[in-house]
Amino acid sequence: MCKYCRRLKKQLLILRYAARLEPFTDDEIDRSLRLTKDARQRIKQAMKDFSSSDP
Amino acid sequence: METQLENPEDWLDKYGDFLYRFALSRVKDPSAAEDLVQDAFLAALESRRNFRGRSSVKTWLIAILKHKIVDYIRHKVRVRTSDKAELTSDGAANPPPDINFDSVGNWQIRPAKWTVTPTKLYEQKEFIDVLYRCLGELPARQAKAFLMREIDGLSTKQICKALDISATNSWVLLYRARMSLRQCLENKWLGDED
Repeated sequence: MCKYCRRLKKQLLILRYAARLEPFTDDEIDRSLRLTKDARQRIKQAMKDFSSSDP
Repeated sequence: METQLENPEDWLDKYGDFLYRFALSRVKDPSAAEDLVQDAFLAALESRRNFRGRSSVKTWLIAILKHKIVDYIRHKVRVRTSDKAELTSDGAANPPPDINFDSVGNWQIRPAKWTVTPTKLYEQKEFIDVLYRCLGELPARQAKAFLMREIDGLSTKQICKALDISATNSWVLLYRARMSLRQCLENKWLGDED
């Protein structure tokens, strides 16, 4: 395989890995970040509304 | 072993903060991140009958959220650009597939050497940020085809059915998406020239 073909192959592999990457190592993430109480309430209500309208 | 779908009423408590942190890390806007989490949960509710249990519920929810994030970024890109600029941008993000090669098949635009390695992507936050921006700049169907293949792991047949296209079209979409993404990444986040 040619030099640039190898590079392209590696790039495409990196794209695949990056797209599939699941979030966060422990040191990357600020665990104090949470949904606010209001947001949580709003999402809960939206899900409830959706479920009640879903046959 | 197949994963059972948990009670949707438990999703928010179990995964809400996790999904929020992921969305926030990508869009950097707390209010938008909250909306994205809500959209992801609603989309998950809508498609829960399609959950096949091949991944964990968490992974499934993250995949749905990634689609929402890319849609959000694309919308922001479209709002930022005028119609004319959008056309130009679409053209740039969607080059003809042969732009990389000359008429006899030699490399015209040679792939640069990227300084990231697949196993160390966690350490490359900037790379991932740029990747999501580039995904947001792709034409909608290219982005969808790419996400369906690479994140959702769908087969060609499933992608064709979801997008209502032929197998040949799906291969072209995927090829263009991949080539556009790598070109976009090289433009916005360049590896070592060689």
